[in-house]
Amino acid sequence: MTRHAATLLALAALALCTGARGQTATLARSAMVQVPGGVVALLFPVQGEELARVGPFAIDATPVTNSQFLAFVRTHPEWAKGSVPRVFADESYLGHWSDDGTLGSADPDAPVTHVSWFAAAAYCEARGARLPTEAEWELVARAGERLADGGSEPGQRERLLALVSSRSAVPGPVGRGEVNAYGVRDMHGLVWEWVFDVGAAMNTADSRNAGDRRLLLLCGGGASGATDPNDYAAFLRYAFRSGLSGDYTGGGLGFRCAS
Amino acid sequence: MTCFLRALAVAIVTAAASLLTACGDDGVAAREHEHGPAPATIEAHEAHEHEPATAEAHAAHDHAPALPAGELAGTSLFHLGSAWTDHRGEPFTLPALRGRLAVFVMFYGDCTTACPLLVKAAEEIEAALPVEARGQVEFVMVTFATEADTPGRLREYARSKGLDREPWRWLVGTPLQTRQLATLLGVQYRDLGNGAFAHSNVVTVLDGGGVPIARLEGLGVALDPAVEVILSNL
Repeated sequence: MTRHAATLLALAALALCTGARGQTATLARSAMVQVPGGVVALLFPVQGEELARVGPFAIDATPVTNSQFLAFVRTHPEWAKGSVPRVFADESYLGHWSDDGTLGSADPDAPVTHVSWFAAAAYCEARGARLPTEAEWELVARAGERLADGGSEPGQRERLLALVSSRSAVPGPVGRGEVNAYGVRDMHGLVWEWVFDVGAAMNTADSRNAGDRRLLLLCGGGASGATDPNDYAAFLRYAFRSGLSGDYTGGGLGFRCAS
Repeated sequence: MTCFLRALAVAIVTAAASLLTACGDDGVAAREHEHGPAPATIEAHEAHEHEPATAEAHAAHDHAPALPAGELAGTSLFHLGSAWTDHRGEPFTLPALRGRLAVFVMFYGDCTTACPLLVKAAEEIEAALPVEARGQVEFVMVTFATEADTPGRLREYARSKGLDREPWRWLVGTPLQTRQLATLLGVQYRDLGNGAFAHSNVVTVLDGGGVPIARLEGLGVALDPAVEVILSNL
C-alpha cells in the first residue's frame, strides 16, 4: 500500500513537472530528439573500456505506438500478424491486436508491444532509421529531469526504480509519462524496449570460453563487475535484456527508433 | 552479505526475465500480479484524437522484397533475403543456397584466437565428407566486422587459408543484416569498438530449405554430429 501511495505521489509530481514543460503528447509522439552523444558507463563494461563513447544521434521522443506500427504493417504486409515467418517472431506476435490484423481493443496511442526484435528492426529500417544501440539507449535512460547526467540529481535512482515498478501490464498512451532532460519521454514508466545489439551480452574479447554477461548476472559475484552496484533499475534492464531472444514478443516489451 | 543479497535479487530478476521469454503472456500476467494494476492516474486521461497513421515516413525507404514465404518453412533462415557481398565483390543472398546443405560460421578477419579455430572446424567438416559429397555442401563464413572486412580483405583472408575456392563463400553485410543473421544463428557478439569483437563460437548446418539441422557451440567440440547430419541429409 505504502509503495502504491508513494508511486501515486511520484506520478502526480511527474505530471506537474511534465505539464510545466508545456509539451503536448501529440508533439512528443512523432518527434525525434537530438542527443549530442556523450560518455556512458555501461553497467557491465568491457575490461579496460569502462566508458562507452556515443556519438551524436537522434532518438524518438516516445516509444512507437500501435497505430504507427499498424501503418507499417499495412505497407509491409510481410510483417502482418499471421504472415510473419516463425523465425522472425513467436506465436504471440501482435497478440494484443484483433485476429483480422486491426488494433481491436488495443489503444492506438499505447506503445506497440508483442513485437519481436526482427519486427522492431524492420520497422525502424523502413523509416530510414534503426534501433538505438544499448549504449545510446542507456545514455538517454540515465538522463535526469534537468541534467543529462541524472546520477547527480538527488533521488534519481529511486525515481527510476519507482517508474519501472509502477508499470501497468497493459501500458497506457505514450507521451504522458516522465520526460527527461533531453525531452525524451517514457524511457522507464511504460515498457521495456528493444535495443539494436540484442545478443550482445558478451564481456570478453575473442573468448575461447563462455565469458558471457548472463553468467555475471546470475552468479554470486553478480555485482562485482558492475560499474554502479547500487543502480537497481539498471540491473533490472540488463537482466531483462540478457534473457531475450530475437523472436520473443511480450506484452511488456516495445521499442523506439534512433538515427 | 549485501553483495550476496544483491546478486540473489539479480538472479531472481534474471529468472523472471527467462520466464517471460518462455511463457509469453503468462509472464506478463505474473508481472501484473506482482506490481498490481496501474494507478488510476495513468488510465484516467481525457479522450484525444487519434490522427490517421502516416505512411509517408515508411514509404521513403524501401527494403528488400519479401520472399515467397509460402514455400519456406517458418523456421527457415532463407526468410532473410537481403543481399550480402562475397569475397569476390559479388552480391549473394541466403536463398541462393536453396537445395544445398550449408555450413555457417560467423567470424572476423582480425580475430587471432577463436576464429581460426572456427574456420578450421568448418574445414575439418569438409575434409570428413566423402569426395562425392563435397560439391553438395556450401561453406559460408560471415564476418562480424562490417567495416574492416571489405570483400578484398575477406578474399585475402580466404587465400591465406587456402580457402579462396569453391564451395567456400566469405560474406560481409550491413550492421543490421549481420545482427539479424547472428540472432537467427544464436550467435552472440559485441563490438568492442577497438577492432575486436566478443563473440560466441557456433557452427551451424542448414538443410536445403534453410532450416538449421545441427548446431555446435564452443571450441574444440566434436564435429561428428555435424558430419553425420550432413551425410544423412544429402
